[in-house]
Parts: sequence; structure tokens; C-alpha cells
Amino acid sequence: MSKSEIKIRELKDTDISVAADLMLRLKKLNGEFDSIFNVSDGAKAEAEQILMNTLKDKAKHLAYVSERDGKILGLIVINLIHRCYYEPEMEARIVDFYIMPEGRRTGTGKGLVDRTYKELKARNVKLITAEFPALNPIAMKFYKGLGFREIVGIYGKMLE
Amino acid sequence: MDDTTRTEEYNQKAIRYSEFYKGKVQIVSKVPVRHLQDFSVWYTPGVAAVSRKIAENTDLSFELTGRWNSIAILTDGTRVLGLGNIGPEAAMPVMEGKSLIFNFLGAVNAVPIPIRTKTKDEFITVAKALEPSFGGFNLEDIESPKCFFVLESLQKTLSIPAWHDDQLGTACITLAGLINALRVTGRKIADSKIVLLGSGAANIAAAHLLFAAGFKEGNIVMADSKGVLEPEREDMDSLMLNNPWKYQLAMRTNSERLKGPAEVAFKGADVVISASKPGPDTIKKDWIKTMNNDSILFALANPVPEIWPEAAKEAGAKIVATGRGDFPNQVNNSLVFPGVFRGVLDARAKGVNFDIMVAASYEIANFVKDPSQDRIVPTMEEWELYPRVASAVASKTVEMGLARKANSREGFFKNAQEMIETNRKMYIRLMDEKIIKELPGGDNVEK
Repeated sequence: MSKSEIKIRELKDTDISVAADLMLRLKKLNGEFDSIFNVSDGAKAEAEQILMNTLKDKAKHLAYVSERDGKILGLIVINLIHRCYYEPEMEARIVDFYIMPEGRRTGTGKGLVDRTYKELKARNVKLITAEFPALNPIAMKFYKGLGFREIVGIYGKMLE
Repeated sequence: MDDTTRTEEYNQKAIRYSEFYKGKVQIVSKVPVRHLQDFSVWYTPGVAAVSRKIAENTDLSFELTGRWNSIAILTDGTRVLGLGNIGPEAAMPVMEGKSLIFNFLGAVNAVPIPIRTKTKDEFITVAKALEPSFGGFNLEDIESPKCFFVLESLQKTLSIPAWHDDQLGTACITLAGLINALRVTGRKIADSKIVLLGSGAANIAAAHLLFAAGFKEGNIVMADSKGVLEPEREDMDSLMLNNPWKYQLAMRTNSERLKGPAEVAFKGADVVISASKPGPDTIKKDWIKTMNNDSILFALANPVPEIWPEAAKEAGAKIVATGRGDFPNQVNNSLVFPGVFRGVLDARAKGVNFDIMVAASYEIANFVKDPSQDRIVPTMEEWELYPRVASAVASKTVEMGLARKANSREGFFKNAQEMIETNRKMYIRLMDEKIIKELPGGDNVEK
């Protein structure tokens, strides 16, 4: 059975439940690396809410999915943020990016990134960043591979 | 005598005999020493000439020293039998036992070397450092998934064969039994649907060996304690990080994309190979009832199979194999490793691979004349088996371009047969002469 082509398209409201599951898989993976990111009970509902907000305000958010045979294999969510003090003034921050195991090594990730770059170029956004837990080596390797470098540090600790 | 009483008797004897013999193997010289002047040849000054030759061409170490017939049994003692992580010192009795079997059945000099290492990299470093002394490595009783890292790394970097018996030996005898089970039930490899229940060292290796033997990847379904392996299972990311071998198999197998508990996979399956939790209730009769007609079940957990053979047959299984000698069809590594090592050593192999293992499995399967539901594998007493496996392995090694020494299949067979027979004669003579002491407490008489 030959596999069909992978399509990249914008997130739709009918995708929200499945897309939220992908977000949760990403969050659970974060929890694997660092217990400070243990996923809470209400996470699914919150993920759905965040995705709905993303769809409501397309000026401030971008969200794309990759799809094969009607099945969603990957998701990227980007927030467009206005930066104080610095220029360029607009920053596109990747806040969620997950590819299902079956979609890996198939060009799915690159497809989502390319589509994002294209849209950012059209919007004249010149800075892209990605937010992920410091202890997630997969994300670190992935973004370094895309030419990203560390630009902000957030340190934290649990209080007694 | 029931199982518990019998096991207890074995335990007590093992301790008593270990106290008496203080170890199971020793180094015995193989050259004549007529008088002390002979040492001028065996040792200095004469020996320096031999060293000089080897220094010029290190491959001569396989011809001018005992390296060609010596292997190391390497373990870190992290997963010894069913005992778990008991450490290298406590692993020694098991490794000595393995060494005994290697020698008795395969005429291989197997040196037991339990090592104190913590990380996989440390283990690999030690193994590599030992390479110049040996013609092969048998890895033993190393915890999963460390065993996969270690085996893969050693197979890539060494120029001698590295074998992990818990993976490769078990896989090899499983395939041999499966080949005959399919013959008996009139099935074809390409059409058979196989479930691998348990996704530890043995079944992960079995999956790769089945691929190499022509089974379709998509027709194989793997399962573990969390259920059927499939790409969307919740723990896939964790597996990708911690056990990439299992992760890769989740991607490659199960084209139907079955999901859920393990029993889901039984439905419509032709074969279940279980290397899972000891039973007898790990596999339910109801699960077997959902398999295809004339189903095949390998329940390989020890000491108690996942389901008793009788129960499995009542539920419709046509062929049942276990890891035990007191039921028909004992799937036993000891049918494999002595012959495999005899073969790779005789070919002075640079490595061993799945194609060579497939050849070994077919040789074992073909050894069984007229296989039947109660006889799909040979038994350990069938002496001809070991040189047969050795010659099949050695010939395949030559064919794959991995041999340092070529010979005809017949030549390899004769050589292996002679070595094994000579070695047996030595045992018999040593026992007759009571140089190998009789068992203590008058136990020598067979009851």
C-alpha cells in the first residue's frame, strides 16, 4: 500500500479535538524530561480552548496541520507577539509543534515550517522563536538544526 | 515428585556440588610437556618468534594461538535468569554453567567474565578492550534496553562476532520451531499472521529475525504489558527516547493498526510467540479460542509457561511449544549457541548477522525428520545437530564474506564433528579416570 501525499493546511474548528490530543502528547513528552511540566487533569479542555482562541484571532495566531488520508499527523501553533523595547517589533513564537510518530521522517515537520515561513514573510514578520522546556533535548536539536539559537533563559524552582 | 519439590532438590544439590567442586570449569593445557626444556618452546625464548609473526599480522593470532576457539561470556549481572540485578560476582555460577555447555556441546573454550560496569558505554569500552584475546563474544544476562545498545555497538565496531544469547539464541530456536510448525500446519511464511507477546530482548530480536526470514512486517503484531504496539500509543515518545528498538518496531509492524490490550491481537492470528510474564494465567484460553484454526502457540516463559500446554490445546492450539524439557517441543537456546559458535569460530568470522541466523534456524528445522505437532525442534541429546548447525553457519559466514577461513560445507562439518567428539572423549576419559571427581555423597549413581 503506497502512502498518499501529505497536505499542509490551516487548522479548522473541526480539527480541534484531534489537534488538542497532539498538543497533549507534546506536553506529556515535556513531562518525561522534567517533572515541573507534569500534565494537569484539565489539560485537554485547556488545549481545546487555546486552539479555539487561536482560530478566533488570526491576526495574533497561526496554526497549521499536516494531514495524510484525512488523518492529522502534525500541528504547529504560533503566537504573534509585539515586542517592547526592541526591534523588529513583531516576533513569531512557536508554542506548540508536534508530529505523530508515523509522520516523522516524512517531511511533515519541514512542510509545516515552510508553510509558517511563507506566511510570516507575507506578514513581514522577521523574527521567529520557539518556546520549549530546557531539558527537552529533542526540541533543542530540532531547532538548532533549523538555525535557531538560545536567546532567552527562564530559570525556575519549586517553592517549599 | 511435584515441581516445587524437584526444584528444591536441584537447588540443594547445586549448592552442595558447588561447595565440593568450587567452580565448574578450568584451563587445561593442550600441548605435551615431556620435560621442563619444552618450556623453551612453549614459553621464552622460542615463543618470541611466534609473537613477532603476530605483531606483523594480527590475524595470525587466530592461527598461532588459541584465540580462534576462545570466546568470552560477558555479563554485567544486571538481569541474571529470573533473579534480576544481582551483580557480577553472583552471576558467575550461571556464566560457568554456560561455559560448561559451550564446551560440552560445542567444544568451545568459553571464558566466563562477569564485569563490574555501570553504564552501557563502560561495558562497551571493556568489551572492546578484550577483543584481541577472543574469537567471539557471548553477551549474557544484560538488562534491556541496555543489551540492545551494547550488542548493536559491538556488532558495528568489532571484527569478531558478538552474540547476545537472550536475544539471538532465543530468536534463532524460535524461528527453527516456527518453520516446522508452519510445515506441520500447512502454512506459508508470507501469509502467516504472527503475534509476539512480550516485547523484551527475545521478541525484539525475534521480530528482526522473522523479517530476515521473509515474514511480512505488517503481519507481525507486537504487544507488551501496556497492550498492542502501534504508532499512536501514548508512550511512543517515551519509547523513542528510552527504547528506540521497540519504537521502530511499533512503526514497522501491525499494518492493521490494531490497538488495545494484547488479547486483541490474538483474533485471527496463526501464531503467538510469547516471551512474557510467567504463567500459568498470563494467556487465557478464551484468547486462544479467537485464533485461527490449527493455531500455533509458543509459551516460552520460565519456569512456568504463560499457559499450560494442555489448556492451550483444549482451547484449540494445534502445536504448543514451551521453554521446558518436560513437555514436547522445548524451545531451548542450548540447541543453538554451541553450534553457532562452533561455526563462526571455525570460519574465523568477523561478525554474525540475521542472514547467518536464518541459515542456522533452517538447519535446525531441517534436522527434524518428519516434523509433527509434538516434534518441531530437535532435543539436546541429538549430537549430530551441533556440527550440522556449525557447518551451516560457517558456510553462510563464508558466503556473506565475513569469514577469515574458507572450507567446504562438508569440510566444516567434519572438522566440527571431530572437535566435538574428541572433546566428549576427553570428558569421558577424565570421568573414567576420576580426574573429574565423582559427585559427592555417593550421588554419582544415576537414579
